[in-house]
Amino acid sequence: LEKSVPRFYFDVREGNGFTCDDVGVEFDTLDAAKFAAATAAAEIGRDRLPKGDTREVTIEVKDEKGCLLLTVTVAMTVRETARALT
Amino acid sequence: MVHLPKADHRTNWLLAAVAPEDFALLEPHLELVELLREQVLYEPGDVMHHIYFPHEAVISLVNLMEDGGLIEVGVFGREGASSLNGALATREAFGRYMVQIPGTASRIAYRHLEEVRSTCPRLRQVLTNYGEALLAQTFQTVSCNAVHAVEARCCRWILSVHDRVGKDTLPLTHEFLAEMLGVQRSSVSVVTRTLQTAGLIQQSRGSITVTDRAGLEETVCEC
Repeated sequence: LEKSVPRFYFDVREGNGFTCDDVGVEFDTLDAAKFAAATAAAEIGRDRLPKGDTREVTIEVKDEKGCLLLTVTVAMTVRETARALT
Repeated sequence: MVHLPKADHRTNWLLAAVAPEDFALLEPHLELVELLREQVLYEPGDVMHHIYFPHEAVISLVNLMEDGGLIEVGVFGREGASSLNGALATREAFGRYMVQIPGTASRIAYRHLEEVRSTCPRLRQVLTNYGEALLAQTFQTVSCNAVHAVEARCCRWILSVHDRVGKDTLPLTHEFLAEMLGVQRSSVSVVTRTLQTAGLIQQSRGSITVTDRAGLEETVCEC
């Protein structure tokens, strides 16, 4: 019997924004889904984080039943020293 | 591919720009075809036998990368013709030519176009002008892909297809758009949600409707 390929759903949180994935995408393994989620989080972070309106992008990977399997977060921290403030 | 009996070939702007006497020589060789969504016209390296002049159809030239990724490197709609320039020497497809938006197109066999072209300097000039415009557009795309954010590129892509199709509702999934832009599907989902919240587009499953073109033009890059 052929085992069906599992479908994964990537919900994205950035700042106050929440993008729900109601379509999903098939991956052979959880590792493949994890890699895709990490790549996506990095890509979204690259565009959004330097703008400064959000400092964190999180992708929540869920299964077909909506259960959370893993999260990937990219964050940016900018610190100014006392000298920069003078 | 379905062959249709009646056609207004000059729905395509490039064919419309051809002088009437030259067009009269081309016309007997033009045939109207219906292109289906995601239909592959040529795979990389294929010898191409026809040039397509889209009406409402839009054809993409997509580069296939070694890791299985895709990226669109050229778009051909009613303003132009697919597979015209690269193929005049070798006739080999640079990448995959696939139908992005279904609809009709006129097509002509290379050898017929070459016959007419070699005897009509004005036709040759029209095709050369188009070739130059296409190359200029390609240089702009190279720059845009290298430096601009996904949001701007997404707007650019939606506007360029909107220009070509002439309808507000475009049959597009996030997955397809992501493949064309060479980015992750989630990146497209975040961008289109932001554009929808801003009232620029309206999304439904499998399609995107342009609701505020001027707003998209403000969000897009200079490309």
